[in-house]
Order: sequence, then C-alpha cells, then structure tokens
Amino acid sequence: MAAAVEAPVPAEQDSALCGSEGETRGAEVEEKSQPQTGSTGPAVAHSRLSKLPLARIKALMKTDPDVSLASQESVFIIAKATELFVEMIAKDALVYAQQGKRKTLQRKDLDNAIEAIDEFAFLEGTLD
Amino acid sequence: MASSSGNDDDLTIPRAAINKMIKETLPNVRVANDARELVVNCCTEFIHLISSEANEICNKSDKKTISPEHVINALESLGFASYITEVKDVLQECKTVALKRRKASSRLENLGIPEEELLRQQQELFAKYSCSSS
Repeated sequence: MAAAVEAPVPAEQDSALCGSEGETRGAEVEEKSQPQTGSTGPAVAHSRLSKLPLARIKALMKTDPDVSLASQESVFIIAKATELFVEMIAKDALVYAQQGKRKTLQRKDLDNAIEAIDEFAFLEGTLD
Repeated sequence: MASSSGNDDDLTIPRAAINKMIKETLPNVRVANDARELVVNCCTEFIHLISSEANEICNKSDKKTISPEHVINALESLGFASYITEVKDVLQECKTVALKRRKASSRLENLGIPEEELLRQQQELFAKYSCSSS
C-alpha cells in the first residue's frame, strides 16, 4: 500500500477535513469513495477511526431539512458520539437485566433505562 | 439493502455495526433481537438530536457549516458532556491524519524533485521489493 507519490491530493480535502467554513463547495466533500467500502486511499484512514459508516450518518443528518452543511470532521465526531451512546445505553440496560436476574438483555431493559435516565428522555418517542 | 424503497426516512445505521458494538460492550451477554432493533432506532434518534442541536448552534454563530465545535457544544447542552473527552480525542486523531497527509503532499511539492523523477524512483523501489518478496 504505497502512499509514496500521492501527489494529486486535492486541496478540497484539506478544507473539509479542517472543518473550515464557507468554501466547502456545497457537497462538503463526500470523499471520492464511500467511506464504508474502506477500499483505498483517503477513505481508509477514516474507516479506521470510526466503527460506523460516515456516509450513512451524513445521509441521516440530511433527512432533516433544517440541517445545513456539516464538515467532515463534524460527521466524524457525531459517529463517535453515537458509538458512545450505544455503549452507554447497553450498559445501562444491562443493569436492569441483572436486577431481573436474567442473562439475556431484553427490550424492556432498554425501556427501563430510557425511562430512568434523563438524557434518554428524547427516546421516549421510539418506545411503542 | 440501502434505500430500495427510495424512502429517505427509513435510513438507519446498519444492524451489523450495532451488533458488533453491543458485542464489544457486553461481551458475554445475550441480547434479544427486538432489543437490538430498538438500539438501531435509538441511534437514528440520537443522530437527529445531536445534528439538530448542532445545527441550531451553528445558525446562531456566523458560520454556514456545522463544525466540530458546534457538535461538541450540542453534546454539552444535551447532557452528554461525558462524551466530550473521547470525542475530542478522536477529533485530534482525525486532524493529525489530515495534517500528515497535507505535510506529505507539501513535502513532495517542496522537494524540488520533479514528479517524473519521483515516479521513476518509485518504480525502482517497487521493482526492487517485488523481486525480494516473490
């Protein structure tokens, strides 16, 4: 995997990666290749840093019509925050499973965690 | 998979990615399918929540593009301040990678060695190493 002559590194990558303002041309750089294929070149570094597909996260963000442009780094850290969120909610739910002396995490454990924890109040809409 | 129905609002994080994260967090725990499904949906909500908040913060600033700063402030205001340290670490890594890449390309430009010469050298190296590895 020779990174030797990567000469034609386009300037546009730089501005998006540094999260600088304004000059991102509308598409705020989707990267030449979809990050989740993790194929070659610049996409590789990104797929090593995030467990979640950045393109998908970006797409999710865009389903909100109010959300404007987001720098690549922002999408990145939202990905990381989401990972942390999953960890947090899983661990919190586990406490309830253990209280119920169960070894299997069930949906109701998540329900309980959501109801008990203030920060998860926004999730109450997802419960049936 | 993807959006075969063409409906944007059915987007979620891939189940496999979620399963993997759950497994890493709770290694010896069985997790019911409907619980996993709920986690997938919660992620979607979480992403919307953070982006929406970050967007508002961005709008209040004089910037047009949501920046990491906006996201970090959003996490803080939504009660996820505990995530900030790790998030900042990842951000640092990201910047370091970007910096290295920029340095690498500017070093090449400043070497004063014309690209053809560099290519020639690269070819030599490849030839040399492919001989020794076969």
